[in-house]
Amino acid sequence: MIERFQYDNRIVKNFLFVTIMWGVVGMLVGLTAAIQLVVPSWNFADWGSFGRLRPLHTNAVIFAFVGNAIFAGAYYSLQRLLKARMYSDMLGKIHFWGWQLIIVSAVITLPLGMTTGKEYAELEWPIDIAITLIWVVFGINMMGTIIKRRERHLYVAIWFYIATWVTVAMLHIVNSIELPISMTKSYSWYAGVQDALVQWWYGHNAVAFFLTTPFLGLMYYFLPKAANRPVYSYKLSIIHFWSLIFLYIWAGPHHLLYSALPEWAQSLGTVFSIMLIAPSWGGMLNGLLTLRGAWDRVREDPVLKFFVVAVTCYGMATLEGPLLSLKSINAIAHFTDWIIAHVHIGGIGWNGFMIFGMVYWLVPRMYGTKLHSVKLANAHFWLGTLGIILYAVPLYFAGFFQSLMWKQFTPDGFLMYPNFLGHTAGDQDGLRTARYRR
Amino acid sequence: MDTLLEIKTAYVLRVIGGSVYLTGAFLMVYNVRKTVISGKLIANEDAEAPPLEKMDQAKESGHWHRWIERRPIQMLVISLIVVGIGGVLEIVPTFLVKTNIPTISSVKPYTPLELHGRDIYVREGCYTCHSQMVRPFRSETERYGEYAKAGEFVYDHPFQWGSKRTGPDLLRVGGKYPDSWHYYHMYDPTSMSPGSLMPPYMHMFEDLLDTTTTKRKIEAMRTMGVPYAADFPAHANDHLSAQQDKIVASLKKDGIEAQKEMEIIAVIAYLQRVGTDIKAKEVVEAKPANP
Repeated sequence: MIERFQYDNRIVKNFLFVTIMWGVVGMLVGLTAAIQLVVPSWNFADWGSFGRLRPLHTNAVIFAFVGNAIFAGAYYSLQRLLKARMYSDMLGKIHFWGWQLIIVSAVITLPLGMTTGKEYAELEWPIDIAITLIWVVFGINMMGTIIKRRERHLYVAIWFYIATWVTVAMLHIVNSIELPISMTKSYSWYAGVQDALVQWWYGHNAVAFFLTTPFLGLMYYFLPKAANRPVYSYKLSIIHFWSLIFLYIWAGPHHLLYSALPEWAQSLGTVFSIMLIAPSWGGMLNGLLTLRGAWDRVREDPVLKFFVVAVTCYGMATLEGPLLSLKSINAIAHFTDWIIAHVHIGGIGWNGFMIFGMVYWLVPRMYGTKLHSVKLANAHFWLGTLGIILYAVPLYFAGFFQSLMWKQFTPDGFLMYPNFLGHTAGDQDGLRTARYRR
Repeated sequence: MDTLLEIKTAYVLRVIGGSVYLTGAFLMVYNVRKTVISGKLIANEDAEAPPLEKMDQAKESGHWHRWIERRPIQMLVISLIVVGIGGVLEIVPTFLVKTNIPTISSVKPYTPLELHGRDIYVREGCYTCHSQMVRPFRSETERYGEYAKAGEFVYDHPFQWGSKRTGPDLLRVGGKYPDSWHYYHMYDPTSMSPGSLMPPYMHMFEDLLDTTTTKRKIEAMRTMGVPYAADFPAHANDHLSAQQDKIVASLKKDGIEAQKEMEIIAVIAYLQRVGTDIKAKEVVEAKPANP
């Protein structure tokens, strides 16, 4: 007996288009912030100063660009992998519009300075509650689809979606416990060292469970589909899934090395970060090796090109991450632009390129047509790759040399550059200040 | 100006890299638009499949991991346990074991004015460019002062350690400059630090401090265990007003006519307080030795 049903493509299309829209917005805000660091007069208004735009940039890119892409990819792949329409069209709509409303409220409140002051968790408490509710709606819709599935075994992509859902829920709720004093202002319930630990347990695992595990799920669906090859290793996917989610959660304290966080917690963060290389590279290799025998197609297909560079960037970022967790390297790199370069390899390399590949693969399929121009897509690929290199390489150098200058001493044992801006010893505190103090 | 020049070149290249990347994204927008026009959305895609086979009919053989792949609820619960372990083992001891955060008796809660100033510091996103975490390296203690101790932050809701130094660390900025330095610096950073990338914060000189929230703020802090006296919330604004007067007077000595309700006064109060509590102790201890 065969059952007939229909996949819902409209919800996928909606999520995919807002992904593109918010992606452009998020990047434009990022570009503005980058220009402000060259031309300070671009801080055009109190609501448009760097300190308020930077949280808008990070939130827009993480939760609007990447977030909507997760939902688009998950709604498309879940239906196919489970051989079922999404559990509820209505829940899908609530999920879609609710999430967009959250993003719009972020776009309004962050420039107005309504912030909790915790990185990537800046949104104030009413929006935090809305995020929790919409996340639950997504969870019900996903689990509902899984329950009414026609395929007994859950494919590896779905393991990643499930782990993502449950972990993000936990992280978001625990880190967002705050005491409101008005609709637009609250205080974090935790203080000082404890707040720092909870925040970076959240912050690091926002990277892990919002930017990594759902995207590994997408990789496990879209990469084999685009390459028309089965996943390289089933056993590898089991080992790297469980070890990745187990190890990742411990790594938060590596953001707080040499800080006032207790030593034992710092050491745990370092140890688990180093162990993370194994499952991270397990995922990368499983992705790249899926392409065995299909490498000739990588040359022609822009979708595969995007995926290959994305997975390679994932591999580079996840090798660099553990290295940055070594105390000796962290002592140099922390607080510098090195870290900015590192996160953008992950953000615009891994996440961005996975999304672009997905868009080029999905749109023609859902519209029953061919991609308008493969040439343009190839041009996009090369511009994107060049953009990543031009972005990251100078910042790696800048971060490294800046840190060395911060640490440089004269033969007499004084700081070589006592003024932060880099005036050499001699004009001790900067010209005007020195004069002022006299 | 060597470091800044070096960084500036990199910052310019970064802008170019970002623009190139964004240009690529615009190509995609065009390409997708053209593709969408040439086709028609298949809103409901036909599919067919046999119904779900009964659990006992599903092959029990094969890899052991197949067991959990048939059980989504168990998958969810076990995932939660697996990710829960690390979080619990790191967070719970940091909250429960007292020795992890040794208390420092000289560390006192912020005054109401300082608390307002701190909230403005948070509002403006100062943490996106300034850390408040002096690490125990000689290069940092030379530059900024005493390294950070866990007990110094017990009243910081939220913590503001930061993660990036586009500007210098501010943990020991308290007492480093006169009030008037901060006044000029916040109005036009380059007037005090030529070449600075910091934006001016003119609106702090126009906007007045909202003191109607003072009571609620202090009460919230008390709820979270910050040891203000029980009757303090009611008088908090008197304390605040007195401290404003002090700062206005100090500015006046340097020839600045400031209005006490301006936000900048609160910001100065906070910046002059940050990281000074452990210094206060040194002073107290030094007194008997040098009468």
